[in-house]
Amino acid sequence: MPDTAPTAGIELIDNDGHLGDTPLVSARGLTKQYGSLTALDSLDLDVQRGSVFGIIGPNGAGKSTLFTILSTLLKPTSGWATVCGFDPVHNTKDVRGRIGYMPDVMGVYDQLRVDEYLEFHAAAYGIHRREWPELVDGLLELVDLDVKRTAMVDDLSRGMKQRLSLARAMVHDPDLLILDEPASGLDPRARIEFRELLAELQNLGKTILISSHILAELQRMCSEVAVIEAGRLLAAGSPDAILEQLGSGRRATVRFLNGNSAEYPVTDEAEQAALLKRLVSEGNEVVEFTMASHDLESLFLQITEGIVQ
Amino acid sequence: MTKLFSLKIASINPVLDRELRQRSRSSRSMVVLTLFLGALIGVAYLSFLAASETSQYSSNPLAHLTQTVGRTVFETVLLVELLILMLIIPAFSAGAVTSERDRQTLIPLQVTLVGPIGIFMGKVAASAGFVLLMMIASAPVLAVPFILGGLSLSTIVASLAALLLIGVLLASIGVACSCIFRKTQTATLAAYASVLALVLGSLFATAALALIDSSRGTDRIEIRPWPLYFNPILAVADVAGGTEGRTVGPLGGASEAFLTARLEGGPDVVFQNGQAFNRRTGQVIDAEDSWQWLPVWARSLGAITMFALVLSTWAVRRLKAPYREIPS
Repeated sequence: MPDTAPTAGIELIDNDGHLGDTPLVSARGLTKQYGSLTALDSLDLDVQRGSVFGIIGPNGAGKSTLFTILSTLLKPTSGWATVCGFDPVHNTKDVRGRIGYMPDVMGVYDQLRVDEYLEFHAAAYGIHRREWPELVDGLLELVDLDVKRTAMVDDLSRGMKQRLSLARAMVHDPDLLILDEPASGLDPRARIEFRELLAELQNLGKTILISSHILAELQRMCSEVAVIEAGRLLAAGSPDAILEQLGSGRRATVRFLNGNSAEYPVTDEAEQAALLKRLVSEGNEVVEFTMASHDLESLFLQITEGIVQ
Repeated sequence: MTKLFSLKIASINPVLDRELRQRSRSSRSMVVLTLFLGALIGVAYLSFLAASETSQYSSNPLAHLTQTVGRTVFETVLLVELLILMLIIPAFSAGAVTSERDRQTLIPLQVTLVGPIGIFMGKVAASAGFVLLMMIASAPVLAVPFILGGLSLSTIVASLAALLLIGVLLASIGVACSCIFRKTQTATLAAYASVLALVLGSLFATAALALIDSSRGTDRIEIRPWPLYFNPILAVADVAGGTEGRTVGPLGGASEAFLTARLEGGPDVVFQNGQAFNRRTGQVIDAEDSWQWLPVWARSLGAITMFALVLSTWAVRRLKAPYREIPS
């Protein structure tokens, strides 16, 4: 397998300057080794435009390594990736202009106001200063920080800093947002607000690549997920599709009048109806019939082995 | 900082703009500047008292005496200012990039379109801005000896310009160390070690070359002066007129040492009225120097610039992502 993206570069973009149906992010055989430690092991990945793609994995699974490679900060040992049609190793400027990267820890500057922080990054992306006031207004409104416009960045709460960090990643209107553990350390309210903000970004047509430890968060917002462990891809697709692949998706929990209860695997609604009919026809006194499906958490536990590198 | 000025700087280099904003709000710069000026004024006053006291016993006319006092005060202040710059700038500049790493702000900056050269230049320019502020603030102190006589306005301006350039080069060395090393303490140590290498290392290198020559069994020690060009004190001494023998103050020591080395005369060389003589034969000694068309200060500043450029190139490479391994 070649170590450079065979189609990386402008040729992936059509005459209208769009990527068409090509995945916004692709990786093939992506491997990263630190000495004897393999952080990523021949990872294959496709992220479609407009999707919210969740990366799930335990600590040390290789999530942050993957994100830093895609964000042009780290060279893979072998394999290749394309981001927005460009190779993140050789076309760094092209990739940087199209992605917004939010690392897991948000660094803040002292002695700098919120609006100045965003203006600084707007300038760093070469945005003309005439556009700054409108841009900063829009971003602060989006992340609900307009009342903190003149506050010092280091005086903000953690949740506000995370939102500001997201606004910073959005300052140049990128096609792709790469968010590494954006909800870590947030209280439940801040987490809900952050989730709502991401939903808003999805409605704006942004493609979001996100990792999180809080799997319930990802299940609510992700159209697709990839489960990685020890640098290897264990499963990828929509959460429901993965559950179906594993054959452990829908379950019917039945409670009988005598106090007993039982669980029956069902594949779809037709089978669910047939099961209920059969139980009743067999003379069982059913008092409760509820459907339960595996959530992302149980899926994660089922397919990972807790390998930590 | 006015809004318009800030906007223009931000268009040129956003890192510089942000640094200037932050520094203007910090009390650290102002405290350092106040202490720096206080020290210079103290040195100027003390050297004035000392030079006046010494001149009382001279039989020279009064006009000559005031000129001697003026020149001595000027050279003393200039030398102390240079020493303070060498002390302050590494501490100020060596945390430029390491502090960004510590604060986790470097990575978001590296994924923008600024690029490693932009980041490096912004940091150096911000430190150079502080050096410029120090030079402007110290100009009145250096102007006091001008009233006493013994030196021209052009000498003062040229000396300040040389100090400014050396300050900028020291700042670039400090920022370069900050890019090369991961921790602020290591970077600060490396920056001070670099300054020491320039000041003392150049002397040791010259002495070492002379020793190597003497160990070869030659009857006359030949001193090759080129390592001395890396010494910032030599550059300032030459700009202030030192290496041409016009000096009477503390820069005289530097200039005589340099002349001794440059003329390859060894310990038999004596100086009088800007000329070098052989003590034994009484002959005037001229340097055999194919680079004579280039002033000593230009050679010296060129050598220091080369040193700073080598470190800066290394530093920019260290800032360039993607990395094989992300510096923590």
